[in-house]
Amino acid sequence: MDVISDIIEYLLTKDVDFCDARLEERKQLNITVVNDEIRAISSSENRGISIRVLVNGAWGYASTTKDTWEEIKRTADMAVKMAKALSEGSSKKIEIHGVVSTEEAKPRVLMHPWDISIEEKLDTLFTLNRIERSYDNRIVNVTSRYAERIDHFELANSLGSVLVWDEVRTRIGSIVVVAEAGRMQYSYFHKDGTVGFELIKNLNLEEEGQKVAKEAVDLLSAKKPPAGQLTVIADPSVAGVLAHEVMGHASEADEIVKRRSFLTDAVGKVVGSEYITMVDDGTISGAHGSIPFDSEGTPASRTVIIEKGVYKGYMHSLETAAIMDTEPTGNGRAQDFNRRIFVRMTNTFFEPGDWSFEEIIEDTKDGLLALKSLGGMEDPVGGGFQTTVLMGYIIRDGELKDFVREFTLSGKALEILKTVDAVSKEFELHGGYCGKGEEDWVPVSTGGPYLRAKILVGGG
Amino acid sequence: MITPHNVCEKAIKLSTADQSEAFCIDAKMRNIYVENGEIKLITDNSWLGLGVKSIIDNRIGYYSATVKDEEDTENVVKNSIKIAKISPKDPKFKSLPHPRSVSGSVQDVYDEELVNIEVEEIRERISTLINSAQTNDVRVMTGLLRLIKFNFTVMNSLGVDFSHRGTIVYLHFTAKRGKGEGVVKRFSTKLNQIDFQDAGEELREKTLSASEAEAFRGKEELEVIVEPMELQGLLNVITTASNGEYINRKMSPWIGKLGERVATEALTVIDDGRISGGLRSALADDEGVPTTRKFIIEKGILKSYLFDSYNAGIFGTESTGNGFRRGITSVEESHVRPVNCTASNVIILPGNKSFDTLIEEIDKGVLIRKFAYPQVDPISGNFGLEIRNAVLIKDGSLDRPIKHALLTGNMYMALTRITGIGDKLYNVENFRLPYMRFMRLQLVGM
Repeated sequence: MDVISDIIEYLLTKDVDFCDARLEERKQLNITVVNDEIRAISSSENRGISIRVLVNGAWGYASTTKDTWEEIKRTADMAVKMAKALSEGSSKKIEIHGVVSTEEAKPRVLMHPWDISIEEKLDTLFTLNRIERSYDNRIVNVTSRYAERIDHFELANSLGSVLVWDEVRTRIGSIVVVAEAGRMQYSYFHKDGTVGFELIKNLNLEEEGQKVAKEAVDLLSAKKPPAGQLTVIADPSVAGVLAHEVMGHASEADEIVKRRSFLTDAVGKVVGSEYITMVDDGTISGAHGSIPFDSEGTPASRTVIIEKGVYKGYMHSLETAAIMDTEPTGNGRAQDFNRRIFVRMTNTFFEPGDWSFEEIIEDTKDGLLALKSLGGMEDPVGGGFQTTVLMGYIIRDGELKDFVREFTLSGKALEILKTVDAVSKEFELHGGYCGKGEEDWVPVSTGGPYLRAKILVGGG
Repeated sequence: MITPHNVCEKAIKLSTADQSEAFCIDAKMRNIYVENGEIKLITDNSWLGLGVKSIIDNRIGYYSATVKDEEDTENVVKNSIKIAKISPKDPKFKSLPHPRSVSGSVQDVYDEELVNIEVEEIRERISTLINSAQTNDVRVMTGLLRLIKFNFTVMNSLGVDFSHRGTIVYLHFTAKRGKGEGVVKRFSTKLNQIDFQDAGEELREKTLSASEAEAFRGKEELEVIVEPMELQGLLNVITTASNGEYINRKMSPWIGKLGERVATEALTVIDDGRISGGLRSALADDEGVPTTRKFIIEKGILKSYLFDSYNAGIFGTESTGNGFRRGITSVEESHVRPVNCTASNVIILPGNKSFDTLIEEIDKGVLIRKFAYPQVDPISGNFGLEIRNAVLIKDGSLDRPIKHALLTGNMYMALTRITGIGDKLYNVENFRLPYMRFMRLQLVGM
């Protein structure tokens, strides 16, 4: 920690408006088992220092993986040089303000992954692999993966904050591929969070493995889905894409300050039905996107973005909060010490409602249940929503009928949200990594309840 | 002085494993970010990373770390061996690559001045792009110019010893007008090969077109021309379906199809690890295996799969020089990856149709300029892609710009229904590819 504080002391002699320094150590373990055989065990340990300087509204960043004071000074000087070169002739000032604290935060995990032997981690994957492979002889490939990531951060800034914290993430997942008569299908599952090995201990491997294997096998005989503007019951993974990719990215304040987002000036406007409340919350215990502090040292917080259909506000970094004269929300995040910090989400989701899943199905005369999103893409400018789902069920007269294969959902997010008329009590968050502008990956989670809305279906 | 070569030498010397491999990369990266028409920040990064693979009695361990001194190198070797000792045996592993003669040369993969370029010169070039884009109410929203300089060594205990240095230039800008957004990208190994004026003009033109686009209504089956930047994402299925790892894992629809027709006769696809100015060009891959030029598809017939040494061993063949750790637009964390079986540089041979001819030959069609994200399910080949910018084609001419539509189909099927290939190639990531026209894809209004 001394080195990080020394950097700030050094930079404060350089006539800068704001500066911070962050040391980051990331230790990872990844294990892959394919068809009951080990494919790879790899472990890594990356360490670097990132230094930021703000001068007359321009930023200079520099980072290094070497930690001699000479190299650190060279890196700090480079950050100053970049910021001053960019700010030449500028009189723009950004008055950074934020929460100033001195704190050491320890992760709240029950079973730290480092306390579990590699043998036990391997045994888990081999067990999962066996469960899935033995389900049906049409299964041609099962790939199971385990990953753990432990991050250690030390941060100091010119506001006076001095922080030390760790983050622990554990993840397990599988993909099952089936083939019959030249046709191939697959299904997958993964679980993750800011938790330790208790994630796996609490998992019913038999149940999860059999479920995913059954889905893949059933997809071989699944029917073609219908197309058109339909009543769709979106599962939490689909709801999560809508929350994160469209409404979430467009609510990141860096998109607002440059007026790129379709939600610029939306505060106070109705953007969805009364059933829609959407939140970004980096404080949820165990969720994959949770963080004690963001990469700028701001404590994570809960930001209500939409409340009962009315648009409420944006997520902020230190810089966007200063520009918009509001408080930072703990959303200034960086992929790692090499990358810039900008506004990023944490755990982004729609709040659950009053309906049970069964009640929504029973109340639906004709519709389509959409299950297992395969991802989506941000559209902060146009507000377009698109996701492909792996499978679904046709709903007729309040009952799940035909099982259907892969199809695509699309439409304008605001139009879809205004048609939401039922929201379930059942609620799930799904973890993953979010890239913004096709890169800069940070751990997040997305999700929500089952939502019923009118959505265009195609691509089946 | 600590260099990738002496780090690798030290690691191999220290290792007590049956076989060992060390990969060390020294890199410098500068990212220049533009926000709202102005350079917002510059990042300057440097790192040295080492990854060591150890094999003991067919047990494989891989450990990697950023390194700053000899102690770190020792630590990586020690941990790699530790992991190998507790790993289960991998009966499929045959051997690390044996040394093969690496001869010949690759051109235009290194730009001496890249990372030392002064801020003023960068500012000038970016201003050229912004000024040529920002007319007619078009505003540049975001921009990234990335400059990377790297050198790496890969060495193994069987005698492989290969070093390479390269540079990467990646440019990605977006602009907005009304509710329309345009995107422009450039990929190169040399800064001077990027025409900033041209990139700005393309960005302006695409943004104007997107801003004038109207929502598509209805549902039609029509001929589709896809521009290279979007086509690359669709044609990625070729490199996955021919990937040795996908073949061995039985996840490819092209298993057992060598020598069979998988595309129309007009399509020839080459993987070439030595093409001049290729982002992955080098005399050897990241395992030190000499790179090669081979047909993946020749006149529509599947000719070869791509292999790294591990997957070649399982398949009972030799590596084709397709083991990579480096990414396309960045080399960050290259040392963290134990080697992926993947394409080097992909060339789609040009056809004989000019862009104008491709359009003139269609009565009813659509020219795709931007998908939300051009992603195809690599196992099934299915896609349902949101169109953010396209132009309808009517009676051989470009008609009106459209958006809010889904293009649906199956890419493996589409490869057998190519009706025209452009006569000019464009660089998109590690691909060189033309405009391509497909028959009978479905367009559905959103």
